[in-house]
Amino acid sequence: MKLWEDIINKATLGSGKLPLKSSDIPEIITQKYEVFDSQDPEEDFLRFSSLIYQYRRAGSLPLNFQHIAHAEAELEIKSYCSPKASGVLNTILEEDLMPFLKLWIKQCASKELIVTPELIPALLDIALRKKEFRKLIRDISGKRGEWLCKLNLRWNFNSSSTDQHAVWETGNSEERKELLRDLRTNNPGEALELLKTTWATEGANEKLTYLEILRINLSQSDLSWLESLKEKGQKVNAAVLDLMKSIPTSSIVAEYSNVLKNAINIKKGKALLGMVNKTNLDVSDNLTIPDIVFKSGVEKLSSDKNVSDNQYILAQLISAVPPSFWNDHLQLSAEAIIELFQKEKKTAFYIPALAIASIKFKDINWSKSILDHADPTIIDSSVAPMINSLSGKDRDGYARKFLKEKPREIIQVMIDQEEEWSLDLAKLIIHYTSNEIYNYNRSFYRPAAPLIPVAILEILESFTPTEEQKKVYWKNQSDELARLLTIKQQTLQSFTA
Amino acid sequence: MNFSEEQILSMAPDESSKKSGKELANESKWVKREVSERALWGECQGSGKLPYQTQVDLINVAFKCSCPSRKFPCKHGLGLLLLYARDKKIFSSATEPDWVTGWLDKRGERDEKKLEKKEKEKKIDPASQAKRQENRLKRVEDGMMDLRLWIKDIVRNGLLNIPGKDSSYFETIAKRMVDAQAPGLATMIRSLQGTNFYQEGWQTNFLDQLLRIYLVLEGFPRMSNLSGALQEELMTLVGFTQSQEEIKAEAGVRDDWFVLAKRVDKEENLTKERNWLYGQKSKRYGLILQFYVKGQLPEVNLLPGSCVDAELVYFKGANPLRALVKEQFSVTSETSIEGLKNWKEISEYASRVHAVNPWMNHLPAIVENVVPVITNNQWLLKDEHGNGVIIDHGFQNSWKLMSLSGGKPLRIFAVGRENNFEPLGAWIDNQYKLLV
Repeated sequence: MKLWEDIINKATLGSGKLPLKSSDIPEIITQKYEVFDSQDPEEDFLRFSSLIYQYRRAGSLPLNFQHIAHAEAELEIKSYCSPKASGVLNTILEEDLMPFLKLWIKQCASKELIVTPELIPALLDIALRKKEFRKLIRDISGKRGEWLCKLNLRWNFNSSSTDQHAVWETGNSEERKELLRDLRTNNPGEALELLKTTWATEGANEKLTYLEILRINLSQSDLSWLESLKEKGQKVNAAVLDLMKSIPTSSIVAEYSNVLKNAINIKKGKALLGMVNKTNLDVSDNLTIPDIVFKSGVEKLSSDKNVSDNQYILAQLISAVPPSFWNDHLQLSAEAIIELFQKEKKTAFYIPALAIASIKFKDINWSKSILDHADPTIIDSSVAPMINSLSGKDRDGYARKFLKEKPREIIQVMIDQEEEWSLDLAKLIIHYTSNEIYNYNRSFYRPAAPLIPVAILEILESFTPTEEQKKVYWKNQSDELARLLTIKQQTLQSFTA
Repeated sequence: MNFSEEQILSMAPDESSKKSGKELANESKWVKREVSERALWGECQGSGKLPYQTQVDLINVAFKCSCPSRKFPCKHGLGLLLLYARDKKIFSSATEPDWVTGWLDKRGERDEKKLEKKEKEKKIDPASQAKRQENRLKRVEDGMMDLRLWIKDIVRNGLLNIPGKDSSYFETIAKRMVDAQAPGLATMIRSLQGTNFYQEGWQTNFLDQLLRIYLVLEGFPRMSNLSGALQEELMTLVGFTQSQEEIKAEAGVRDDWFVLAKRVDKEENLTKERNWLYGQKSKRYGLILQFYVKGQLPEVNLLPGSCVDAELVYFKGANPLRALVKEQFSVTSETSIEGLKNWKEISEYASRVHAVNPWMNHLPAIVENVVPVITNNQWLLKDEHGNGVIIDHGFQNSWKLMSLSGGKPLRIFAVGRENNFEPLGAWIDNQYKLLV
């Protein structure tokens, strides 16, 4: 309204500088109300502008938005979750209980349900902050979620391949890293192809960063490209080599295997005056090691006076070849090989290296064999990482077996998992944590609760520590745990028919 | 009556009560869960030997619990009502036990006694009252003269430097109005001080409020020329209070009142609660204002999204919105709400209200078939004719509204004026969703 804009201009400057006169009032008003100027410009401004204010308010009309188009979301194919489930989700969001959010979303997705529309924006905001939730949230947001993502570009996480190239070519360092990491996680081959397009033009620091990202889902299919690289920089070369060392079929791993083939073999002999056959491992003292092995980072000299240089080199090589090499080389099972290594002190020395190799090459069968048959005192520091490399029930079972020996390390491993603990494992862990109340407080139970079976709720009191001074602390912690487990219970119940 | 979790949790005194209430909304926590037509009760095993007895008045929502908590409602009350909202089937219908009947009956008696007490207090000497009134009018007029000078000072110097003024610039004149026994004018000045100077177009908001104050100064000496309703309106704006007992003695409007929204503002120890209601038969809006200090309870508990059969009495004034709940009969679950058809009808309605009450600022409105739209980072509410308003800049839940709509028209409840409205609720598949 032009008239009102004039009033505002005059009001801004003040009647001292720019007075409002009766002649400024349009005829449509003056025809009905008599207006006249007085000697008091402030009073005149107030009178006249009051009149125009009333005129403006009384005749206000809505704005014309006919030219502004809007689109509709597609109809949903899946059904919405129950109001009860929505209520639980609301609690989870209000209290920022991220571990429970994952559980809730997985329950929702497993029942082929979608979230009610009012909660989608809050979930998309979480997806914006936490990438690991993006796919999960997309799965339960339905058509409405897709529609909202198109409208709000901040939520438009699923950029097309054209966009990916644009980001890769013009994005900043963080955006490129994010893109490569996402792509490598979901489509490793495509990530490698994208990296190849600009590799020659990247700086050394970028190359190091991207090689580190290639470690995600590293496989034999990356090998030919890695082996073809001829880099000038020492650091980049070292990083490329390091990656190749993680691929069992790489030429460098083959070099290591060759050395070991010549160095360690089965020696059959007789014992007890020739009455018993004796099988041992023979470790050669004269090692012939090609230069390339040392150039690849294997160190020549031991810094421990109790470990010879040869032992030191062999231990490094054993830890750098897949444990399955020994099955082929010695034609024995993992269990038999471990027994053979443990027969003598000088060969038992290599067991930790075998454990490291089983972790590095993610050889579950070897890890299990080592955990089952190796002397626990020898593999001490590798127990937790080996348990971590196992999956599902195996991990749970071995965690139970070793919890007494390595409680802190194993609890740390188990809290990083996604599968629910078995009731027996949960009992063992809570029995330990309830007695270690100063180390395991609310900040432990919050992420742990989604992993703890709700059946614990019924026996929570039984974990009360015997020491009087710990009881009060435990009461607070068990109350919090009970609250969290109740949310878990409600989440599960809200998705059962 | 169906309560939503959101509604129930809005009554929690703090975040920890919300948390604990949710934890207690678990069947296994309650050894007894029963319900009658007017109440809900249960027994919850706490740390004591005997279980806590918790009860909820379902008609004029209120809580009582035998637990020692000082919070109100306590976690048991919230938990019990939450549990009921989630699953009514786990509550068995039963005859109210003595401890429930006793409490409900006492509540009724207490209300009656309050009325009697207040009626006794009413007997005041009319002569001294008239004298007091005369003195007050004189003080108000003196105060208004000072206020007029202050306003003219602003007009002369212009609005340009107003954002740079410190709070004492407004507070001094507001305190002067309090001294002059015109607290209403003090509130209007403080609202002027509350202008968002960072928002584009603040000058209009500031000037509008300044002119509303000026209109009070102009109208007050000419009171005898105005209608009775406008006189009442003007007196209220200046700060003359209306006796709630006298208002309650008037005939009210009995209706099924749908609770549209509740706004709670806390300032130091004082809580100000604004409840917007809509009468389904009378098609009138009502605004229930409640003020209470820390530790005190609001007189009535109104849950947004619920519907109460109640008698409301309006304060005197020109097209008044503010009302009191005279009597609450029951909570109903049937709702049949129909808003105005489009924004043009809202404009016409606003013009009609404005013609009766020139001070009317924000209006409540239910509008049918409105679509939220975003264009150039601005949120709009467009009706089926392509007309619309701008969503208030302060509104935080535009994406929630957008998601609820899915691009399809919906009925919304909004409060605002001219071309600027803030949506506070929306209906989707006949279910009311709060947007605050």
